[in-house]
Amino acid sequence: MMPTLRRTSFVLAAAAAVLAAAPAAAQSGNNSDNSGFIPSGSGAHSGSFLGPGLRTENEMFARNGDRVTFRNARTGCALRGAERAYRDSIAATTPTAAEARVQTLLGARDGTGDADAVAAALAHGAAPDSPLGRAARSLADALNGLMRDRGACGADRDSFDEAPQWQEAIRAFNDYIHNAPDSAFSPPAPELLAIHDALQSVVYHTLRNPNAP
Amino acid sequence: MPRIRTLLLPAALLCAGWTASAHAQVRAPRPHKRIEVVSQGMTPAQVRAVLGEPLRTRREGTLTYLYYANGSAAAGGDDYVVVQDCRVVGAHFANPSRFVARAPADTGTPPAAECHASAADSASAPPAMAMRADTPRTPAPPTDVNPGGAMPAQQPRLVAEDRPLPQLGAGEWRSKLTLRHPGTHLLAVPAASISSPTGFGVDMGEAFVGVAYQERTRFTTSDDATASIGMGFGDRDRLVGLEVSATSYSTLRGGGPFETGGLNFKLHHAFGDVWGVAVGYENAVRWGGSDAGQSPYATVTRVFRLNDDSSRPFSAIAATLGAGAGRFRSESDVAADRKTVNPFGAIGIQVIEPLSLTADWNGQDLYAAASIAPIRRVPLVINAGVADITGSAGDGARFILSAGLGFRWLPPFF
Repeated sequence: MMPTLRRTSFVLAAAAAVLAAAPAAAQSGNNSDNSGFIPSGSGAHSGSFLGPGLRTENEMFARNGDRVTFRNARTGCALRGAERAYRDSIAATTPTAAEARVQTLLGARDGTGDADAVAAALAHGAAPDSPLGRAARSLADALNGLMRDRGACGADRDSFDEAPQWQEAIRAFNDYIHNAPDSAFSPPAPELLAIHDALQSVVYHTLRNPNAP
Repeated sequence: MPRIRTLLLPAALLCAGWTASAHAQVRAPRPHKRIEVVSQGMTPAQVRAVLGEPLRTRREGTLTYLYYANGSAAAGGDDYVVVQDCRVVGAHFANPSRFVARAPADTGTPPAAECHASAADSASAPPAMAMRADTPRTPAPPTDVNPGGAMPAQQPRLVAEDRPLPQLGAGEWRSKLTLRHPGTHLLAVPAASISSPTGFGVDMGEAFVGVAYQERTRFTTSDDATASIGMGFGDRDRLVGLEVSATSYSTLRGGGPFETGGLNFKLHHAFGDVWGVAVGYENAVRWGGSDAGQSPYATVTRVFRLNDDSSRPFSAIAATLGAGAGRFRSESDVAADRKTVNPFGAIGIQVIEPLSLTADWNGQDLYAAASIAPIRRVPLVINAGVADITGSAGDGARFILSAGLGFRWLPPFF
């Protein structure tokens, strides 16, 4: 302990001696103190290339002006590949009634989706205008056609029109999970589990390999 | 004679009657065509009431097949009815007198006795297809009610039985079902300008520290350095952000850090991540007698994205254009103490994701610098370059070096 304190004191004393011996400030000419760093700052390092302030990067999404897009075209393409893998995986299976409702609503299975039926199942008997009813409706609407086959990948991120719907679907699902009353989980609607399976499969595979074709 | 005719008439009638009777015995009366209709949602007992006892039954997974002779060898195979959860979900009839009809789903729970596929089943073990009393089910309607020859097992639209759920509490379910959310991380990106202020700034929760060094100050041979710290307030996207920073001049020389310095303010608004506009006032408050003058300015920055994938080379160009007084004036105006406003501007090219090259005219000096962000997830940026490379405001080029680190002083939800 004492040797450490002594060593620290010595370093501080030496530093103080160096500073005291330093010559006076050299301030001559116009704005000699402005040495290149921007005094007013524009962030820590002047303006960045990705826009204002501290830059953050989402694994999946970005904003292009007011539009929500995928982070880049490769991420969008990886998501479509994950969607395709999910559709293929369920094609050979026999779904439960709840799974069939969800998969049809998602557009992952042929048929006409019934958002009302899925919303009603998720609402657990709650009134449509109740918080749970609204959360259920919001989620069901966000899933409508989400995973339908949209064809080949585009060359740039703006060509992936599904990005806003995917962001909304993830948000709506997690909102439902965190805000629904306990009664909604005793037990949860089979439709909720089917939705989780579908979204988790695609999100997981997209983020695990965001550069997959 | 009349008597004879009287006898012949009954005989003729008898003969005709016998002939008709005999003919009737030869030609059976034509039967009425019997239509047998099986509706979706029927129970096996109701099917048996319509079609009779099946020739045989077969179970496959959750499905049960009731087979019936179709009376036509040419049709091949038998007719069959597909039952799941005690309800008819489909059928295949080659017999033209048999039809299957779509019907609204019956959500009621049929009695267990209705669920026996055959009379033999009802007399033996409990029905395998009996529904659980606590889980009323709605059989999903098959999309093809008359499959036309395909085996039922090949019909993918038939539904499977709901899987049993584990007994978990609400909290456990929430934890289990929470979706993997795409994470958001801080990202280090290189600078788009060196000396000219841009139209972007930090807002609520964001902050930065920075240091800068020049190997000699203008018209001298002595080096010097500055240090800055700044914080953001407000909301640049919805309304306006306010960046407040303090700069220490003569940090290496003189009385040390913050002996001389100034406070700087910048109001800024961002239009997405493409446009930024700002007005600011450098050294609005000064202390210690620094020769860094007060410098109001207005500036706008536009980011041009050449490639939406920032990992690609030459993915973006940022252009800044502004006008200001104070340090943005020309050298002659500074020397003559003329209160003028001078334009400034900068252009930066993101060569690769962590590296940019910048040319910056701050009103009196032309700067050329390289900026690097060495660690992708740590917003540390290092700039190195040359000031006054044209010799227009001093006595020649000067080497400059600066570094800045961004961080959050509030959690992201503020």
